[in-house]
Amino acid sequence: MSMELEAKGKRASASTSCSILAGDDRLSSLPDPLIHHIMSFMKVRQVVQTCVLSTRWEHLWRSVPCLNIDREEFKTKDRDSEEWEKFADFTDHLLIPNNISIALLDTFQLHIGTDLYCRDGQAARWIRHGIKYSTRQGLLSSSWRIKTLHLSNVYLDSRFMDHVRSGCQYLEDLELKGCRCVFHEITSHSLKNLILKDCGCYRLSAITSHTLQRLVIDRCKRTSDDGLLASIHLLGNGPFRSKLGDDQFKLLDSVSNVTSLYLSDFKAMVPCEEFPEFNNLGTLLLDQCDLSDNFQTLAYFLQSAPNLEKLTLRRCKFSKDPMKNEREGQVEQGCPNQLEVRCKNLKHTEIIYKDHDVQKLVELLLSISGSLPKNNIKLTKVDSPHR
Amino acid sequence: MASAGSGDEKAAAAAMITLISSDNEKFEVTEATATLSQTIRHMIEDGCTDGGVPLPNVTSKILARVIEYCKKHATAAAGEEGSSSSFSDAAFLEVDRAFLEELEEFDDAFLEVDRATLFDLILAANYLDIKGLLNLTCQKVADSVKGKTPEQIREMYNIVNDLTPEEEAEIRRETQWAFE
Repeated sequence: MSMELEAKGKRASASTSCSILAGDDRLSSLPDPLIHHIMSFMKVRQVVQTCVLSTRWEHLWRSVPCLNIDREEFKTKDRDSEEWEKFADFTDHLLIPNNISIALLDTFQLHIGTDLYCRDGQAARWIRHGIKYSTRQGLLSSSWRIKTLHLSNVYLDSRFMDHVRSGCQYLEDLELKGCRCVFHEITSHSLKNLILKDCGCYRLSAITSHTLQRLVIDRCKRTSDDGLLASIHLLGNGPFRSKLGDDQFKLLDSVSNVTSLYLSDFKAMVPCEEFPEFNNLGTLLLDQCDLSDNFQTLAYFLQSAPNLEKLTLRRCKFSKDPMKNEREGQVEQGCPNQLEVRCKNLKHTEIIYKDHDVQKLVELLLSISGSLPKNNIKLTKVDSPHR
Repeated sequence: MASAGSGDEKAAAAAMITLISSDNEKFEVTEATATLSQTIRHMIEDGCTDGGVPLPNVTSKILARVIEYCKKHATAAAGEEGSSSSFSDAAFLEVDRAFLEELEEFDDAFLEVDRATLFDLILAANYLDIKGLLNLTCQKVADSVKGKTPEQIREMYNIVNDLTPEEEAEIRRETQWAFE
């Protein structure tokens, strides 16, 4: 009996060295910045709850640099108004200056579910609150130093962007998803990355930024009735087609400093006299765009983007009736066959196509290949699942 | 196109870097692989990599894993030609998608390690300043505690609760709004 116990004891002690190693609290032993980095991948309610893990953790959450406030964390089975109350109560408490060090935040994310019940204005108030308290706490700066702001399903009132512009002067990355936006313009002297997805941008008519490097506008509606829509250059699938009308054109003009442009599901109708210069544009992706304007739009880009290096055309429509093999009149009237191509640095042209009408495009490119000394053309045929 | 190939290879062969682990094992890697580490990149820029780069904080076991990660992701970076303008939305281009999926699969498999190794990788990624690897490993830890209660997290990570019951109750009272 006693032998057995002893043997057990021995075995235990033999394995202790291992189990102590494995049983080390490696997580708590990490330096604060690494724990904060891990926290930045967690949603904020759970981040706060780490305060009861041990004394080491009691205050760590307060100085977390990234807040990811997500209503997901408060989801109950029967969605009721209480759920929203709890979420709102939590967020109100969280943003009390003694709780989170708002001024230290680098990233602020606020995600409100699509279902039910978003009190208009409340979410935008939280942002304003953040701006207000960050400047109050921050001694030197009169601006919130956040660099990243991601909002989803938030109602953003007409003055929201003014607050952001004046209050978040270091903001580089703004992502709005599913937001209802009633502001008229986005102006920023710091933004590098701007993404608007599935937003209702009912009044948006201009984006002005000299710092912007990347802009994505995807599936955004311009008007509440879903007839004409489209935010401008980039928009997504769905029943909508955008025409590049005056308003949209202004937008395209206002983002002419971008280095990459991604136009999706976009019907090319460019007023020829005032196509903007895209001096910084290096990468252009036209995705499922309608280029049946005899490649006028494409031609404008080739003429106006001297630094273009990579051009991708994916599943674009090249002729009015792609199924018909148009033999007659290959070069239609107005076809840009006397192109003054300026993108001498174009290296990669990739065409991912589904219909035979790609032939016309290839002919066009070959006809101007003398002006594109470095260009490589890659053709890939794909099936067309959606028609 | 073809003419560029041999030249590149020559240049790459010339630019080999020797990394030396804490247990004195030597690893030869290309400069492209090594410079995924900002720490090493700076050393190369300062011209102090002759005779090898000693990494006293990284064991050979962990360094081998780190190099495996860097090799894979260096080819990914080369594919993008380091252009900052490449956009992630292009991810759904058929061509890129296959490659990104492969990379994701690699990352998933790469993370199949015991917890001690995971923490060693976090520390190595931090020391070597390899952003992608640091994010990947920290994300893994964050994912592992997702939806877990504080009690469950303590158990998972062997965190000893040194708060007295009174202290814990007090903290819970103060942060009641996060526990309701």
